[in-house]
Amino acid sequence: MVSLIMKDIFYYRRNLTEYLLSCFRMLLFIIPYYIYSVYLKNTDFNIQFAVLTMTAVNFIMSVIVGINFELYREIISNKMVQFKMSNLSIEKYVAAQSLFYFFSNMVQVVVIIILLSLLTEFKLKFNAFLILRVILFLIYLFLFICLFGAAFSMLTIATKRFSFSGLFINIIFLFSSCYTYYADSPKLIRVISLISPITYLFNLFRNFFGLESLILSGIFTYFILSVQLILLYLIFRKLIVPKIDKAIIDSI
Amino acid sequence: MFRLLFLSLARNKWNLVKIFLLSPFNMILPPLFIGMAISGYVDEGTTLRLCLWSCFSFSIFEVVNRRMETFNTEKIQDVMISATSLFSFSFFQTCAVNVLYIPSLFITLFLYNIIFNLKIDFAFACLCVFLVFINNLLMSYILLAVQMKTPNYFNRFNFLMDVIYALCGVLYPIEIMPIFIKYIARILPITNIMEFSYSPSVEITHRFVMWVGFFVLSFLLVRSSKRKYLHSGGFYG
Repeated sequence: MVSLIMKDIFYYRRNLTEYLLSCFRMLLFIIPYYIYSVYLKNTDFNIQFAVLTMTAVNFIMSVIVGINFELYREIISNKMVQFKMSNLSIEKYVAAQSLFYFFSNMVQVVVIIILLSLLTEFKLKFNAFLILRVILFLIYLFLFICLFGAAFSMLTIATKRFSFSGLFINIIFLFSSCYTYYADSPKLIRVISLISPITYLFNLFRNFFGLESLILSGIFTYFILSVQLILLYLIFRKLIVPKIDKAIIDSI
Repeated sequence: MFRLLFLSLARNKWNLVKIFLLSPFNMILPPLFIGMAISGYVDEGTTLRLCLWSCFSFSIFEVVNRRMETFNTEKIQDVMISATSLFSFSFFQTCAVNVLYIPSLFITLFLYNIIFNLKIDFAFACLCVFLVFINNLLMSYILLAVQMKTPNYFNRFNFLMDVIYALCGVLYPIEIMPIFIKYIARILPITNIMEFSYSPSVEITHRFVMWVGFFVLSFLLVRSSKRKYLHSGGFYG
């Protein structure tokens, strides 16, 4: 796993322009939404809602697409043979890639939040409890990204295109009340979104900034997320991993 | 040739999934929902512009993707030694992609018109779609010239598309931007379509001349790139 992360680090050190472009793309992705929110209704609350929502969306999408991009590159360059020979499981592979992309993209999220705090006024009160909540949230976010990234790798193997993972995750976002407040979503989407962990993750994220009240109480939200995490992991382990292994062997 | 390129695109089930199931949601609904959360309504102008952008973005992405495969597998050399010119290959490829994306755009527009209870002028939408098609041809030629230079420009292409998205006025009129950015934005052909969709009465004569100029420029660029490609026996960048 460490060698995989080092491989990524050295790849982007060699191709620094590529890395800088991807960093700058995240900022560039946010700019239209910032201007759009200013154009529609110029209030701090609306600007923060639009920018933070799109930042979170772009962050999750970038990590998942990043994982699948690496996997796609390994498949087309026939490196999966080497991973099979060294008994590297798909879970470890995805975890290593997630770790790298999670932290490399996190830097950009922090930059965006700092820029936003300069442009608008946050209702954020820093204290030890908030830091603990943020750490807990990040752990859950990381675990879910790992699982989604791994599940979508099946799609990358089937389609031979890594961009499909980004397109499909966006559909999940749409049905998880990510782009609107949960309370303002259409009734059908509200019901569907209750089974999606992304709903709770976005709800928690917006709640940190005082943009949305929690759908359920904090402890209950984390309880539901834990149950969903275990269920998703079991589904992944029993159903998806054997299919991915078979697909990798077929691709070899 | 059109038939061949069209069928090779249509027989891939994942392409059809992308065209008819993913593209109608992916680039259109997120900004519409964000706008709805902020302002409380969805307007027909933004919906139309987002559909046009989606058609432009997805089709040009598909053209680039397919052409990259042609270049990387060196099949482009077969095209160059055949009787088919590079221009007609590029033309038919762009047409084949657009013939699939444009119906998807109209279906999407029709569905959003019903779902959000909008009053979209479909005759005007047809005119805008025709302009997007011309714009796609133009972009396709310009990108062909770049494609012969370097094999790996996907990241730069994505970056360029993000810049165009921010500048062209899909979500907001370019009038609200600073003057120098406004002038840069107006150089982009897609900005002219977006401005036209805001107010159809905008002065179009000089823009028509500009588009013709762009076509001439793109033809010259492709010719020059092709010459360099042939001279160096491959990518010359």
